[in-house]
Amino acid sequence: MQYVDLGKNVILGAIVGVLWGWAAIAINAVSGVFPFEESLLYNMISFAVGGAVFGIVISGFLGLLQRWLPFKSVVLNAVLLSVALWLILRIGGAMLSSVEPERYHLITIQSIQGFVLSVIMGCILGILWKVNAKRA
Amino acid sequence: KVRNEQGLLRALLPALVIVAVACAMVVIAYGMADAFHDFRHTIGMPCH
Repeated sequence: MQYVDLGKNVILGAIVGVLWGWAAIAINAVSGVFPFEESLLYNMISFAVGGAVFGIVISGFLGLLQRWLPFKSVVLNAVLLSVALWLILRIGGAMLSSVEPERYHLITIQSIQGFVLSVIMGCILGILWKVNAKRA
Repeated sequence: KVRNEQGLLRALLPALVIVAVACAMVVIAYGMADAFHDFRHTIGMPCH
């Protein structure tokens, strides 16, 4: 039973992640927070891969931790998990930056955009999770 | 009976899969195995 759930979660997370990755390209193109250095085609692929990995992790944790998460709404729980994971990575990044400032440096405006994107990731995942649950 | 090991593996497998993908996430987030350079900047992760 859990195998089936995990498989569904992984597929859903990957789909959400790819959609989110492409949405991130559009949002960054509009905001102009970071001028892209690679071509659009290259970024479509790299953002899809990166987004899928993030989506699978958040979807997987949502499936595994559903019983222990505080909210009744799956959308709120997905947003909570997405933001929490982003914050953990961001705090880790700040530590890396303090250890090796030449290799790693953080830019505040990009961090704000990253936070907003993590909320968007949670919303997309939560909404599609609900749709998927209704169909099952 | 020592079925128990298969049961344990079955219970742990979902968590192990998620942990493995989470490791990939950390690799991507911190630029570590620069293909995701634009991605990292866009989502506010540290970059050089």
